[in-house]
Amino acid sequence: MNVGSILSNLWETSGFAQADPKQLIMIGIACVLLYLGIVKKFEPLLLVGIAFGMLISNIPGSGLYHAEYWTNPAGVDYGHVVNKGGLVDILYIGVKTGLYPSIIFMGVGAMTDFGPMIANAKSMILGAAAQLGVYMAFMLAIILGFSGNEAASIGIIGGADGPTAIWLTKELAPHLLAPIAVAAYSYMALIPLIQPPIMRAITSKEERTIKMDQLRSVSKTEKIIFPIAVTIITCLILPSVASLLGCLMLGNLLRECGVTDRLSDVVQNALMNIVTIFLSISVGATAIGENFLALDTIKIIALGLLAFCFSTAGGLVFAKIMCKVTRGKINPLIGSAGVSAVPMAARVSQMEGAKANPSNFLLMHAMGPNVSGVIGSAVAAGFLMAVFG
Amino acid sequence: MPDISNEVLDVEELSVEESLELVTVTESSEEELGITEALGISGLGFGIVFTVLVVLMAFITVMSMALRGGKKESKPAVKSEPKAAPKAVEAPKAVEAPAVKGDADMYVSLNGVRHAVSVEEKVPRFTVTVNGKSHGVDVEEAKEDEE
Repeated sequence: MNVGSILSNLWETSGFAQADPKQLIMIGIACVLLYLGIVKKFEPLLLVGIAFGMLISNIPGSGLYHAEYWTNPAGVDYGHVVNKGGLVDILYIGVKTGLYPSIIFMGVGAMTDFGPMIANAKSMILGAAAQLGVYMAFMLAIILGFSGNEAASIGIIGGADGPTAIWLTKELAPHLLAPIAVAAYSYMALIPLIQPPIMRAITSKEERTIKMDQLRSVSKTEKIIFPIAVTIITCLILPSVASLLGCLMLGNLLRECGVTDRLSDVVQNALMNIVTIFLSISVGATAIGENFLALDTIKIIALGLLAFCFSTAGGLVFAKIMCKVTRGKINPLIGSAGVSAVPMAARVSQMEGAKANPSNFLLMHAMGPNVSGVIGSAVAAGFLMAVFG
Repeated sequence: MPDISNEVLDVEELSVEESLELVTVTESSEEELGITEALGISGLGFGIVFTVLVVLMAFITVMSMALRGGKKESKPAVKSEPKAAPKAVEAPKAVEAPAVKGDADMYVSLNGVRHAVSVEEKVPRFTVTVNGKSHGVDVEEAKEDEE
């Protein structure tokens, strides 16, 4: 063995010698996403991890992630993954088994105060109405030639809930996981840009100035019964949603019951942060050049945007109807908060309301539809899982 | 195209392209959805989301009413009080400066009577001096629910 052969061997095993143009393009896209996450602060907690996962899995010869392990029609051989897989393969087990989205939902539940929704139960209708985009995007995806499973996964982007989109897609269309996750999280970050024009187009100036009555106070008993009852009722109607909704409500129960403060603290901070790192790296790593650089990715990005727009419009239209029925007691701007991006969508309602009437405080009123949107999108995902899973 | 007729596939032998092709082959074998079926599924799905949330809404309403002793929906205490015609509050009269002037943090007018007030925080007790007379004040947070 001489120095020449060692150098030659080093060159052949280097990423430069093995590089494929698609991988280089993906590394470029990963750098753009890192820029958007770090400089523009687009959902940085998720996007930075996703972009970095994308970056390392596209380094030629790194062997961190093997798409072929996860697309075997005969099923995933977990023993093989553990023995031969790379680091990201091991982390990806948590995505494939649905562990990460469920734990993230537990954290979301522990951070969410359902009080505004309990105080104004009617606002739950808006959380349902804002799932319109899910089914509109599903229809459009079918028209564009996607299969039922793929269309269902694309449609759920309209639920504006990243973990829910990942939970459904890893089961129905795992090969589309990366573009769907990137679209879902990017549009969630862009809600302050996407929603206001639609809100202004659908509502009148007078409607936007409507001031709503102060919400009643919600007792601790109500807050404790709520997660238990929602789990029982919803999971009896739609058992497929048990893992997502059950974890969401468990997190909320830990928060509200008053005897598990330490657990609530761990779930909404340490555990959630750890899982967010694993989830984002794993999801980003699935964006390999062969499946990401395709026409379908552009279609998914476009359909995702339409899904968000339809969901926003659905919530607003129903809120307008409720405004008419209640003779002007409901400001229609809270309807757009029915998409489940918590609390960004509620903040947008508040900002638009304050622009129309500076003494208007809609935030707590908008939190009702906002948190019911989380339940609504989970139910929508559970239904699609029951049909196509 | 990889041979998928065998039951056991050695995934290590498959390249990324082949495995992705496998996914495509598997998916193309799925029954394709027509627009009418997709419309039906969409309608049903939207209906189920509405049904679940309406059932939850009904439950929450009933639960709240039961816990609140049958009252349909009460507003916060301040709002629910019967509105009495507000008494005309006299404009603060010019009160001659009390003897403690200069020692007070603020002047508080109560129904036109002006008081010199200063507050000193001595945790957990406050000392409030009104018109030169000191009072010990304990402040306790109102509990959210004592039902």
